[in-house]
Amino acid sequence: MKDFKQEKTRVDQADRTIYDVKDRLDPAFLMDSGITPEIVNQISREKNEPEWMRLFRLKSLKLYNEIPLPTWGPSLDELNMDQIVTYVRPKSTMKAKWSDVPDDIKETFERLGIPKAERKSLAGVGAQYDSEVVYHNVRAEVASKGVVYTDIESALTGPYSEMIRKHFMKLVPPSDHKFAALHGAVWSGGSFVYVPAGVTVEIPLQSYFRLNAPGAGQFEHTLIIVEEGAYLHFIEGCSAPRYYVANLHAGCVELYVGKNARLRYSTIENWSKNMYNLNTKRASVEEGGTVEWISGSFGSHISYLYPMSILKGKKARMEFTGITFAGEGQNLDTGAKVLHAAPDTTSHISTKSISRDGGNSTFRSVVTVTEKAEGSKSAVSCESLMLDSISRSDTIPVMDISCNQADIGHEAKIGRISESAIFYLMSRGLSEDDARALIVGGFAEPIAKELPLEYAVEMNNLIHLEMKGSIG
Amino acid sequence: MNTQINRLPVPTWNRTGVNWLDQKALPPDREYLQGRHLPYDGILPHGITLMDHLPAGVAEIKSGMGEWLDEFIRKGADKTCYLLGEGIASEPVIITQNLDPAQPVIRTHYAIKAKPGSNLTVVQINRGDAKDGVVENLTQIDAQADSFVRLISIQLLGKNSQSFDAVGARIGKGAKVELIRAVFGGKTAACGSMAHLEGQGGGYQQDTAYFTDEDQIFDFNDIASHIGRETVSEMHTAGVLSGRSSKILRGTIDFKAGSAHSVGHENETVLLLSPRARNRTVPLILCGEEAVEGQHAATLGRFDEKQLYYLCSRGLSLMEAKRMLVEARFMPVLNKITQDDLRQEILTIIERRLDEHEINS
Repeated sequence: MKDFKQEKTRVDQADRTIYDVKDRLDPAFLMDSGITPEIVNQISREKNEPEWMRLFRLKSLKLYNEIPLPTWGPSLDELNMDQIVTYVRPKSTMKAKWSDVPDDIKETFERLGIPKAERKSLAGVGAQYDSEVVYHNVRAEVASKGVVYTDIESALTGPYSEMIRKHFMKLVPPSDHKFAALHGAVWSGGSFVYVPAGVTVEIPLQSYFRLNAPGAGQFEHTLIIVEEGAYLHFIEGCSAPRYYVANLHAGCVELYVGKNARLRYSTIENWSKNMYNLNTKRASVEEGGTVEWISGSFGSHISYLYPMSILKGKKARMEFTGITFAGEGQNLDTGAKVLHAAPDTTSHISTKSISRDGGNSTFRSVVTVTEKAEGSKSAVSCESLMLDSISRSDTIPVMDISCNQADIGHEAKIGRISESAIFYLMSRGLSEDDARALIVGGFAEPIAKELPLEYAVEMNNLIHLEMKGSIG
Repeated sequence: MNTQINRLPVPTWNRTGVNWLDQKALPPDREYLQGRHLPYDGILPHGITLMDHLPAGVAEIKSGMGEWLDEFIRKGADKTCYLLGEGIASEPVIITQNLDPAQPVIRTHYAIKAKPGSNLTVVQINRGDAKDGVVENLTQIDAQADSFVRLISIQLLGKNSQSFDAVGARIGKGAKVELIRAVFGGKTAACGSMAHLEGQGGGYQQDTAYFTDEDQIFDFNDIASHIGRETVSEMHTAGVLSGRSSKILRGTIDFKAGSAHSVGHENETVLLLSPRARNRTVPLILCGEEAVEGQHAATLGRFDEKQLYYLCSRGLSLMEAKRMLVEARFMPVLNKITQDDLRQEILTIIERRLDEHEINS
């Protein structure tokens, strides 16, 4: 039996100062709380939408009222939809220059470092404040290649309206689950990206979603189409100040990855701890295409987040790399889903989680391999660290295999640092503390190296390790 | 009371169909049987005696199949067998039950109470067949301090019958329980085990082998619940799926708060022979205690071409090589079956099913 009598590693809470600054609530329009056909019609009217979208919203609302809450996962009993405001329009229309954005909103995004990041390392930025996009811009050289990056409302009525209609909520139909239906009924804001065939967008695009109003919901819709042979890295960031009433995020992300195209989708979710994050993300990948998900879940009170990849073309590929930190008052239920629906498809899911201070972290996944997916391969790996005995960490994977010509592997572990690894490092001259620090630092490193630099720094700040003993 | 059978300890997406036993595989709705008979009429080996009544506290030991089925079998059993182990048993107790058209329902309640320091092995063999036949077994084990109980369950029913095999074990300080299962028969076979590792240093070992064909439906729900400190669980399952069969394995390692310094390992290897077979594997680790080590692994797929090539290069035919690889997977179970004729019978079933698969594919 191993010696478990070791001191604990300390993992501090993140410094949320910049995220928790609250702006004065001063919207141009604030919808009544709750969700009714009148409210849905009013949202549609406010946005001057085409009739088909208004009808789509009403149909989604009907589904929302019919579909029950999930019978699995963290409890949603305390989420009272009658108290959630589904639409808050800020006092600004969409601008293409930061100087045109109202000062108070601009200052919020300045604090979050978005304009600076745009100048330094991004090909384009979209910024949403409450229910509407307030800023969108894309570098001229990227736009000149035919890349479209705009808010989805503009796209809905502009030259890409037919493309939007063809793809909008086709991967995630409102019937999928209760909060997909809710999204269909009250969605607002979000981004539309179109990358033409053969175009490589060498530096990332980023959308940042900021929810300022207390008791409000954010329901942005992100639709990305990457055509044959194209490449895009898209970054999504989210934050909100902390309030003592529940906020709700029920966004939807739909990604269409064309033949031999590649899309990397990075998310750093740092919502405040009064947030219910019930987000749905799904990708469809054609022959030879690749989708890569990088996911960091740090915030929220409760999360349900399982990006799904549908590998529908031969040799399509997905990779999912995720990390979850669950602290006091958090119940983060995260993971991934993949459907192998074509021959020679490949998936690789790798996740890490840390639970501390009574936090609850759950890894949940499903790998489905259909009869058609001959020659497919899937590997799932999840590792969890519990830093005290008042926290929880659960893994709930499902493998559903209907193909006898596939190779599927799964491994998961909850555990401590190997004593033999410490012994080895000490034999090479490291002190015990340094050896433990090195190993613990390595735990999160595979994820950190996949993150954009500024987010990797943020994550490393989050893990403040005082290596007095072993982890666990 | 929840009537679902083989319920996953923590539910997941309903559309995966793994949260509990499929409705179409439920046991037939039959009245309680009458009478209390002994399923064993031989002479018990030295170290094992028969008890007239269920010992206190044993009825509460839950199996992995759920309270409803436990109670249904316990209250409605037509056969009861309450064994008491004292000291070291000289040889295993072997209990064979035969299903036939004259006796299409067998419902047996076993209890095994192992006194401190005792050591015993019980072999349960279920065979035979009957139209709409059903065998329902509940085995409740109370392994007291430093005792050792090995339960070997062999299910060789025909394909007209159903089988429900519930096992619950309470494992005391320093005690060890082994559950060895070979499951081959029945149109549906549901097994659910739960090890309650309550005493410090308690151990649980489970080895399961199964081989499905035709339209068989197999459903497992195995749980190792670590409650005491320094407890150890090892759960290993090896299976082969052919025909249009389907199988769900739910395997859970549950570290309760207070189970500090415990270790749990679980793995499954599945060989899919047929493109029409469906395998679902759901290996859970639930952890409410920090100072533990839990690990699970699953490997699902086809024969390893390199292994086949190597064996064929040593002079084996392709069929011989495949048979050898399948038998190797089942060795942890086969090695613990000390009855040569029984082991040979299982090897013959494996050989026949592989041959049938080759002919049909």
